[in-house]
Amino acid sequence: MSDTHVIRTERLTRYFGRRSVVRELNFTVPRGSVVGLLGLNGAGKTTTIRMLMGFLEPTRGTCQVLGHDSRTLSPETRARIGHTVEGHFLYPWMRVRDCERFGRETHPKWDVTFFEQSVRRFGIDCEAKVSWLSRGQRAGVSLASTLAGDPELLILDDPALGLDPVSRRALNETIIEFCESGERTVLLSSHLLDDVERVADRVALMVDGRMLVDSTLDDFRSRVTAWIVDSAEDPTIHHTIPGMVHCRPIGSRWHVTVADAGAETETAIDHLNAASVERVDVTFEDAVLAYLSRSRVGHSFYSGAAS
Amino acid sequence: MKALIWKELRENGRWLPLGWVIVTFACLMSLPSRQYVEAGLSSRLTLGLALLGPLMAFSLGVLQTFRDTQAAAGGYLQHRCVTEQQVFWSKMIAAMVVYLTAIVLPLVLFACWIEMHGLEKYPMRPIEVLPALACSLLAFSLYPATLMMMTRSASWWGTRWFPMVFAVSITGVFSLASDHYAMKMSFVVGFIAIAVVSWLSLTALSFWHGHGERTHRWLQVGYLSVCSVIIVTFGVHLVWGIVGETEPSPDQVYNQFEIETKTRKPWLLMLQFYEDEKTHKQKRRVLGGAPIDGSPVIDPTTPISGEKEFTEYGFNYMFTSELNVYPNYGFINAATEFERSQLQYFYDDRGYLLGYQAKPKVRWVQTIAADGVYKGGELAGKPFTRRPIDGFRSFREAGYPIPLIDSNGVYLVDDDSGSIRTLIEGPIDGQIVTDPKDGSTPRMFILSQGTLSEYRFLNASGSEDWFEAPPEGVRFEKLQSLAVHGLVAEIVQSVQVPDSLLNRRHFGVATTDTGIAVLEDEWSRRFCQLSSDKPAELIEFSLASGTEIPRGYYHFNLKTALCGLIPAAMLAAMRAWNLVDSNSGFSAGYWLQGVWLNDFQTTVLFSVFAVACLVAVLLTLVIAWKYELNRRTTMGWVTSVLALGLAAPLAMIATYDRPRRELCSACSKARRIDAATCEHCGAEWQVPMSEGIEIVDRAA
Repeated sequence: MSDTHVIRTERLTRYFGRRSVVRELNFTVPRGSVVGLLGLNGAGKTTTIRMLMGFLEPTRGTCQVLGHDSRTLSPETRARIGHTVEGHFLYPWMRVRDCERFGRETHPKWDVTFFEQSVRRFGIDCEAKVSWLSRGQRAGVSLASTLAGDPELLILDDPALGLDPVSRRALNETIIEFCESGERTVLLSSHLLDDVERVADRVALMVDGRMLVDSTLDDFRSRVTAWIVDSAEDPTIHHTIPGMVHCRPIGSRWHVTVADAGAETETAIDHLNAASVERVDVTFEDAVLAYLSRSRVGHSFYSGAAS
Repeated sequence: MKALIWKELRENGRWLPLGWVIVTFACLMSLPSRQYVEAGLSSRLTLGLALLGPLMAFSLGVLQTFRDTQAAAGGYLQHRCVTEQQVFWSKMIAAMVVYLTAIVLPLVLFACWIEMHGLEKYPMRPIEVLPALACSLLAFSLYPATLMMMTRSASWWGTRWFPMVFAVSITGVFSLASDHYAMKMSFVVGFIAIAVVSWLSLTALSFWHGHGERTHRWLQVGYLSVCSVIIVTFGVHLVWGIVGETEPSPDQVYNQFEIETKTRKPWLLMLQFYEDEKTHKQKRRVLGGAPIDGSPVIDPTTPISGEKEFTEYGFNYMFTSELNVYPNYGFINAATEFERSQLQYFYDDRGYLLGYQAKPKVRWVQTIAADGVYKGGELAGKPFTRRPIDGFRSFREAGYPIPLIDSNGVYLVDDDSGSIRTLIEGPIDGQIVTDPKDGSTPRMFILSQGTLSEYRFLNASGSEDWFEAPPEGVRFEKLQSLAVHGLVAEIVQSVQVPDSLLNRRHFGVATTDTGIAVLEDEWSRRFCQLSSDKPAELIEFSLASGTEIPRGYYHFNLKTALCGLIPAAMLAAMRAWNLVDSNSGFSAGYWLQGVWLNDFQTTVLFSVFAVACLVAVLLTLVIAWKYELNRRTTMGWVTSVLALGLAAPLAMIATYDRPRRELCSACSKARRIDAATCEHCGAEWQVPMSEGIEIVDRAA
């Protein structure tokens, strides 16, 4: 594997029973980047991460992390990877001091000072039991444990889940600081789009086990366009719009999102039988949501309108 | 590794108090009652722990694996710089420490308590916790078995629970037989436990997170095969039991050696055993017979002319060495055969009979040793060399107190003088007391250094006619005193036994008109006629054509046919076990002992076995085809059918995952989802169709 990529998957596929959760996934993470891994629940993000970490065997295909097959990661390679699991799991019976000890004895490059400073920054007592800590404090201990091992690759699975705004900001700042040198890489799985927009320089978007977007944030933003179409009925029912990602109703109007809109798309939009058509700016969040909404049937819990 | 062990100990050590409570409860439940005197603490304790120990090992296994097999906890543990083996062994070590601490500590304290209160209070010794400890060690085999079960991906309704089968079976078998365990057997069980736990641990490691999928698959195959063999055997036994309940017991016909009462000549009789319709008791009918008078051919179907009476079970079988004496009764056991008024006796395997009074409170009041009767409270005098109360059954049934016997002699306890009198001086290698059905006084055969002697028991007036046999079905309640008879033992005759017979484990003896006849076994067609004044005479004969009566069951029997379904490996194991322990409790094993001696039944058995093997081979081939096993593996499984029988296809299903399939987009045939190319057309998997909305930059 090229040294420029710390993660590479080739035709990575994983089935649970008869259902493929991840299918033919080709995906790379360049060294020194912060990649936001986005997708709905069940899109295959956690399964992909578990295969990357070697916790789950791929049904077929391969995945490599830091140049090594994930199925046979040695302790030395694992020492170069920092990982937080979904929900910041820690053993509830341990004290914070025990977490530090457990981490120290299972990581060769453990930085005690870093851990203690980080924990102190979160205002956590080292003698406190994990079960007494708030979710934010637990995230702090979990991140401190992950970073104290001095990893060169950080794989974070939904680290901001349930965190308060202050803890989320602290998490984001930690990730930014971690990558300052440009040599360290982060794969960040999250549902919080503004956090990803703030810290990531690349976005990877999974829908139903497939990777539909794998690009820089700027490239992604620039290649997604949207129009507001004033029409009584869904304008896309009788007209095909090349590159259309999603069309959703907003009151009596329709918001049409398109990827890589070209001349053909412009022509198709012009030919829509609509009272008015207006091009609008697309935010990162709009663009991501357009992709994510493709696999959801309804737009609101009240209206069952199909997409 | 140290940190992992610490983590496991911290996580599971909190269950220790519960373990202590459970084991203490088992200890308390095993204590003898205060109301009456009883022994058997050892077997009660072992049985208690045989139920609770496996439960503790199983619970530990579930507790230790359940959390770490969840995604979050598993990820938190496994992303560290540790290997899967280190995680596994840390769990094993911690579980072993917690389990042994939970078991050993209460047992040691219990042993100390027994040391302080026994034997004065109850017939019990501290060493009696040893069998329980050995069986508990064996019960720990459920822990690695649970790890296997928890880490397997098979369905709970399918074969996921298979790994538990062997651990549960071996723990159950050894624990149920625990009332025979003394020091030697406890150590044997202990060594077996170490071997079993080691084997299961290595197998569990191979299951751990698929580590063995790539390296030690043979361990999984071996273990699951053993479990499958047990499951098939258990299934056959289950049907066997149901058939046994419903199928009437057929009449049995045997050829048997008996002695004609009047002439004392040996005969070969053809006997039919049947169940009396009124009394439902087993009765026998003589169909024919002929005297063994030197003729080379004997026809046992010859009608017997005139009124002739025969001694039932004319030959008495004796062990040729004290080493062959069975069974072992544990460290301390009730000596119910040795009845005396007021006192209850227990045999301590250090060589003493201990007498306890029950009322007004339980107390050790008497010790009987080989050289005298002593007061209770101490083990005084010369110990017996073996349990001295095995023998003289006919005396006991007639209500007489039995003489005692060990390898140094036969002794009579005189209750009046409180002393012991030696009736026969040893050394004694083998002994048997006859059980005459005609009411005459029993006699005794003693084998001593190659000399076989027949003894008779005379009363003070030199008469042998003092014995009063009870009427059939009646047992004398009141003890008759032997002392009043001034009993003495007198040699009737002595003969020299040839070395070829001495080398046997046991042989049958009977008094004939010319001396003593010694029979190798009841199926042999030769016996040795010994007399004091003539050299040994070997009488050999053959049966007349057509009179070769099949031994064992005579007609086709469904039970025998069912035995043919038992895997050959298990049949061999049963046979080996029967050789080691002829009194073992395999019902089919007992049955087979008769089947092997019967040509007809053996043919039935092998026919069913052959059909079962054929069916197993077919099933094996079908499964190998469905599971897409390679040729070499398939041939291996087909060959294994000889040993595993119907268990082979079962083991295959338990071992391999059935490959899942999807239709190939190129050839429309079902293809394996775990293969990169289609096995039919070689096509690769189709990359999902582009939807025209993918955004992938050059770097990706």
